[in-house]
Amino acid sequence: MAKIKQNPKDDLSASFETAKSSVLAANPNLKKRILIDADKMRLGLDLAENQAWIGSILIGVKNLRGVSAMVGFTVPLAAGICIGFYSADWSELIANASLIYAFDEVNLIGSFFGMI
Amino acid sequence: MALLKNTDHDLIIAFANGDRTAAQKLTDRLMPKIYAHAYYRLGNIADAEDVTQEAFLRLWQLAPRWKQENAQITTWLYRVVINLCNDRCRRPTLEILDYSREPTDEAQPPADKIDEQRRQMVLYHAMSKLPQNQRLAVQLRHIDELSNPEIAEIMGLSIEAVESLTARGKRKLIALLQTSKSDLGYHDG
Repeated sequence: MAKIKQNPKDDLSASFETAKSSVLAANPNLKKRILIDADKMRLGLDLAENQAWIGSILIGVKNLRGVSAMVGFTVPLAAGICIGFYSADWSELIANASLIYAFDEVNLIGSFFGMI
Repeated sequence: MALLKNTDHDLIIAFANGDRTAAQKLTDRLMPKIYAHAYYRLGNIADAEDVTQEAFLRLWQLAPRWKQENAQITTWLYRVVINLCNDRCRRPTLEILDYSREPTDEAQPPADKIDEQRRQMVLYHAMSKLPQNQRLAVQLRHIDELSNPEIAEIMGLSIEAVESLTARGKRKLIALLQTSKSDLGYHDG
């Protein structure tokens, strides 16, 4: 209530008091909106944590790349040696099927030993 | 998570660690102050709500990186809301003080309500004529009721500078209000 006042300082103080009381209580929807933002952000943080977890696994795998390359090289090599030593000789079968007789005419081992 | 102390700092750390109730407590504690500042500064509800929401969004975003050495959360939020209000004030479409949703005190006679509204309007207009720093200092001191050291931290000034700004602002306001005394509904004698 505006009352009769003479002192300008009192006028100002009264105006400040009125201004303070005039500020409305915030709309409850505003609090809801703020908390929705907070939830989104919190879920984002959780997601970021999960991504960090997945990321660390991927980094671990990446760090294994030297091992992978070594394994990738040695396994086919070992398999090739095993096949070379223990598998049946398929060259004759292939030669008969394709009518190639060059293998009969070339005796690499014989000529090699013949040089000695 | 059990919160032992519940300081603003504890709450923001708890929020960053996934505690939803921490966000609720921080909002309950800080939103009224921030909203009141924005409302009085911008003069309308919609802008004040937008600015308050934006300030809190920035707080949530900062939460995982919040450090104890940072300013107090209240100080930080005031700085953000002041900057956001400055941005809004630069827009040409800013409306003046919005009375469309004033609280209705049924016991108060209508003439008194009109007097109060007029008084608010005159003060608001008088404050809008102050230089920005003076206006901000006066609002933070006399409407938001912050202490001079808090205002100094928010505005990045010394306490003496804040005292000087507030005193000059008040002197100017008194002069401005004197010229519009009749608008305030005062009667001499």
